[in-house]
Amino acid sequence: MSLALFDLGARLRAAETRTPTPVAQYAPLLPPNNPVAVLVQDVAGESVVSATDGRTTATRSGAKALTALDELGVGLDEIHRTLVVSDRAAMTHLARLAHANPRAAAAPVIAWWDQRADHPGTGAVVLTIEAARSRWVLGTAPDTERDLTPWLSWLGIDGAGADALLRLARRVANGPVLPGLLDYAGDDSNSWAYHRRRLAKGWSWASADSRMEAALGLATRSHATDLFESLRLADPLVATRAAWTGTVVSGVVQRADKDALVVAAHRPVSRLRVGAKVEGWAGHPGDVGTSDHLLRSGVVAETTLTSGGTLLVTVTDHVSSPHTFRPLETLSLRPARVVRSQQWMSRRGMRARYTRGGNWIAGRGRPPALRSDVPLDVVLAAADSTE
Amino acid sequence: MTISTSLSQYAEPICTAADLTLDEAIALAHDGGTTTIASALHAGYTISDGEATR
Repeated sequence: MSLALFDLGARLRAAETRTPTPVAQYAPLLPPNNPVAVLVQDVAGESVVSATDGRTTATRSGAKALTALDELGVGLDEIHRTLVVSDRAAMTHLARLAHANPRAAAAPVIAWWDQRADHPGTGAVVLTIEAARSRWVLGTAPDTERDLTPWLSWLGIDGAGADALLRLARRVANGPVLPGLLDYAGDDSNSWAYHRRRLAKGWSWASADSRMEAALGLATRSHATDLFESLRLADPLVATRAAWTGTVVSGVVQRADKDALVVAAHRPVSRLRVGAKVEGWAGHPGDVGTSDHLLRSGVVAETTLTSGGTLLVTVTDHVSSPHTFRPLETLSLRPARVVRSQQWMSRRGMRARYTRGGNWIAGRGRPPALRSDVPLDVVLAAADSTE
Repeated sequence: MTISTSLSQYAEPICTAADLTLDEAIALAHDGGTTTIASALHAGYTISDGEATR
């Protein structure tokens, strides 16, 4: 309920000021790189693609719909370009067109965009409405925000079509970029180079992934999601909102000694479970990034709710800088940051395991049967399910 | 302040659960920022000079 109240407060504030309420201080995406904005629509059962780079706009339909992208020079150039679409449905529609017209020059590029779109934080694809929703809240009901038109209207962007979409994407990407996000540019470049190399060797982009490719692809997508969510907590407004879900817990240090830090939370809401690795900073959630007094690392050892309704979070193995925390100081806790190098090592380990003999994902042998106890309520819920 | 019908329909059950009327919630939005509104809605507080107080 807390988060619903927070979001409602933001919506009512936007309605009051007639201006979108920011829910992120930093741009949640990289600046578009030589972008191509594409609108895909179904008109009388025929796909219509309208594409623009801000200077030239091309609209084509039917079997030649993808030639709109050819006219903007979309191809397998050395440097990848950014695709701007309204939402995931538009990306899926475009990918479907590529599979239906595999000989189109833009088809292998769309295939790459489609897989990069699954990696939050990518600079290769902008899912514009999703990105805008992670930056602002409108003074409307949430359902209204799923359409492009309200965003254009609330942000004062004239016109419609692909050109307006491109301007919206640039508006969302305007301003300082979320710290750490620039590292993603390297991921996109490496992925693009790999895609081009495979195509040059005769690989068919339309072919299905092998089991190993699928498993590693799932891992990169999962890691990108975890990393992006972790980076987002460095944004003061995101951290403030996260305090209402319990992902960030702020409170007053009640006890501090070499064994433990005990924090009396401002609100009895926490998702920091026992055993979770945490970090923190002096001050409230919105002070993230501005305080030099940090909890570098720690582990949640205990969470208890007092009879008075106060949530106490006990952190052990705590390392602070430049000095330890003292009682009565305000401290905000968050889950420990996701480390890119550890994710990379994890994927390298996965790849090595898959290439060893006997691994069923690599197509050798059969998956081993694993059995474990299932809670009774899960069994009952499954039995009740009609699907 | 006038809010859209859809926002009103979205807001009403949330306000009811927080034991506020929609008009009270709108008045809070007039006086405070997002966090103070949420605090006030959450705890049945009122806002004075931008601060949520009992």
